[in-house]
Amino acid sequence: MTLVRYEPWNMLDQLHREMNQLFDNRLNKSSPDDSQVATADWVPAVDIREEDKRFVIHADIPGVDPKDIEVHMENGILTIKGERRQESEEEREGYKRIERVRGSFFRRFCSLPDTADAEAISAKARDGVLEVIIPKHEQQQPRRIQVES
Amino acid sequence: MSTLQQLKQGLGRFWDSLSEGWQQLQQRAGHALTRFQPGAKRGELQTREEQIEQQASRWGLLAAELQEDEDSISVRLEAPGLDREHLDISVIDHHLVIRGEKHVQREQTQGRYHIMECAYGQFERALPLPAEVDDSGARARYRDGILTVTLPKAPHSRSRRIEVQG
Repeated sequence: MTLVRYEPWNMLDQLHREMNQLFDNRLNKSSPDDSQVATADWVPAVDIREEDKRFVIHADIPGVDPKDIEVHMENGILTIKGERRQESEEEREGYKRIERVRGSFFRRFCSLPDTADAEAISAKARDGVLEVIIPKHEQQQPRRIQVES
Repeated sequence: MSTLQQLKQGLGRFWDSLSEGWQQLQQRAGHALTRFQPGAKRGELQTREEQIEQQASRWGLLAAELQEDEDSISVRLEAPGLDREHLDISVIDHHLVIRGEKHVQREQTQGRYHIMECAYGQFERALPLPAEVDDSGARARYRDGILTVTLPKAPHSRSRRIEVQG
C-alpha cells in the first residue's frame, strides 16, 4: 500500500509555479524591457521555424492593419509589436457578444542566434498572418569540412 | 484571532479572487477557445504537411463578436490564415455556423520548428443568433484575417418604432 500524504500547500505551490511559468513563457518576462510587455493588451500566437538559410516566423494577428505593425531586431532580440484598432468609431453600440480584444500587442524573442542577419530582415502580412523572414549570415552556414588523408 | 484562522481567511479570499478571475476569463474567452481537427485521413499515408498539423496545437482562440441593430446582425470572427475556398458559412437552427480550414503550406514543411503555438486543421464554430434572419440576404467578407458576416433580419423580427397616436 502506498501512503499518500495530505499536503494542501503542494497544490497551491504547484499552481503558483505553473501560473508563473505560463506568464513567463507567453510574455518573455526575462527580457530587459518589461514596461511595454506589462501594457500590452494581447499576445499573438507564433510559429518559429529554422531552415538551412533562414528563420521564418509566423504570427496570428487577425484584424491588425499591416500599417500598424512594427518589426525590429536589435542585438539579437526580435520585437514584434502593433495595435488592433476599432474598425470604426460608430460601431460601438448593439454588441451582444464580445470576445475580441483590441489594443496593443507585443512579443519579443531573445533566443535568436548570432547567425541571424538583422540587416536583411523582411516582413509581410496576409490574411491576418504576419510572416517575418530573417536570413542567416552567409559565412555562418554549416560547412562540411573534408578530412584529408 | 488565531494565526490559523487568519491563514484560513486569507486562503479563502485567495480562492475567491482566483475563481472570480477565472470565471471572467472563461466568460470572455471560453467560447473563443476552438478545437482544431488535423486534416489527415486516418490510416492513409500522411504528407509532411499533415504530419506537422498533427503536432500543432489542437486549440486556437477564434474570438467572435456579434452586433445587432434594427434590421441586421453582423458577426466578426478572428480567423487568420484561412483558405477562402474552404470557408463554409450557414444558418442552422438559429445559429450561425462557420466552418473553416487552416493548413500548413508546402513551404512551411522545411526546416524544424522551435516554437509552434498556432493551430492548424479544421474547425467549426456555432454562434447563437439573437433574432430570426433572412439567410438569403447574407453577405460575407474576409479581410486581414477577420471574417465578417452580415445577416439581414427576417421582416417580422425587425424592430419597428410604433408611433403613439394622440
